[in-house]
Amino acid sequence: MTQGVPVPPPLVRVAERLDVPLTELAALERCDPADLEALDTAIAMAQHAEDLEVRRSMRDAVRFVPAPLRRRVAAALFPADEPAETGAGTRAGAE
Amino acid sequence: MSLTATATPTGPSTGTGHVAVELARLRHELALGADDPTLDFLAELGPTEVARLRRRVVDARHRRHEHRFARLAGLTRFVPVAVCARVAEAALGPLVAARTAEVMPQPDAVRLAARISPDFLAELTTYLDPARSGPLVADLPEPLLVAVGRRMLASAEHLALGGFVGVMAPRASVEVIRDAPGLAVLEVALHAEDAGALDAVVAGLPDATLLRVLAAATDAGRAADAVLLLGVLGLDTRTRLFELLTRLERETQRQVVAAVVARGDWEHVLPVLSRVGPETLRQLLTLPEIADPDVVAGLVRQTAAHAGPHPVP
Repeated sequence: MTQGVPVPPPLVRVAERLDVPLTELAALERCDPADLEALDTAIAMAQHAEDLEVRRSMRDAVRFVPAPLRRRVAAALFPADEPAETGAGTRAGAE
Repeated sequence: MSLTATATPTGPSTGTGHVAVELARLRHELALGADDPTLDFLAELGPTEVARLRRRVVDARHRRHEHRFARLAGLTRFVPVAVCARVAEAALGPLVAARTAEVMPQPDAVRLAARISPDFLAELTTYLDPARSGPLVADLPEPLLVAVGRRMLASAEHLALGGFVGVMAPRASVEVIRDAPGLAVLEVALHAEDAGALDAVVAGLPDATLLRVLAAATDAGRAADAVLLLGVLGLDTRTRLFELLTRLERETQRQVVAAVVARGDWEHVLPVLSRVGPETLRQLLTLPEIADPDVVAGLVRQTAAHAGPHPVP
């Protein structure tokens, strides 16, 4: 990282989204913040699309589990400590 | 891999070099269209930095739900493999099936792959990360790999297929692409990440395939992309390509040589000129693109540089 050069906020968000230290993205520091904003949005959209697909697929898969085991399988795939997915798992498990 | 992988060409249609190839890979990874300009600003970073960023994007996406895929893989141990295969195709979909396969014990994943239809495997493979799934793919029977690869080729999944050059045995890659259209072979080769493996694949392709690639590349105005590949191929393969080039129409020869001149790629071509046969050399040296005085001057400079303390490779 270059000393004294302010890190544009979009680059921080890209680093957080990719779960890497800012030093990993040092080459991007000289890029226009508007371009980095667009990059951040593109990554966010790709990750969001994948999140939805994963949730949908796993919910569909739970439907194939025999009814007596369905709730346990849903709990394994959608643990209670992951609020966003708990609802999906519960719904699937309740079917 | 892209959630919206489609049959649209994904290659660097303008042939602007290695950075264009890397940008095409990153766009594909982020499900952006081949002509989407969002990432164009990254071109100034150079191919190595774009490749590094793409690797970070791939790693982040694979880590994101890895714990969930691991749990799913654990559950499959309690289910007959035939049922797993049916659920994978009917419910999981290619993305989750691919990510789950990557974290399954390898023997289980191989058994499962044998029960899944090649059509679904072809879809699933576009979501596999070659770096993570290499050992699994290498364990699959060659006929299955060829069947899956041909389906990917038919769906124009050139970029994804290129990623597996070096993961599949060269013989399997050759079987997949030997009868493919020239531009499809060019696309797969451009996106191959393992230069050594690509060289082995190109060396295994029949003359007819390579002639098709050269002719199709120039017909499509993509001679620069064909020349780009010269830089990653071995000397024997480069020599063979130039021998083959002189079998094609003079206009095709001129376009390829013009692309070499435009890229200044003489360091990959000069060693070839000392190895081709006399008739090939005569044909190449009479092309107006080479006979240009400026080009000759550049050639002399590069020859002098090569002939200095370092012998021509």
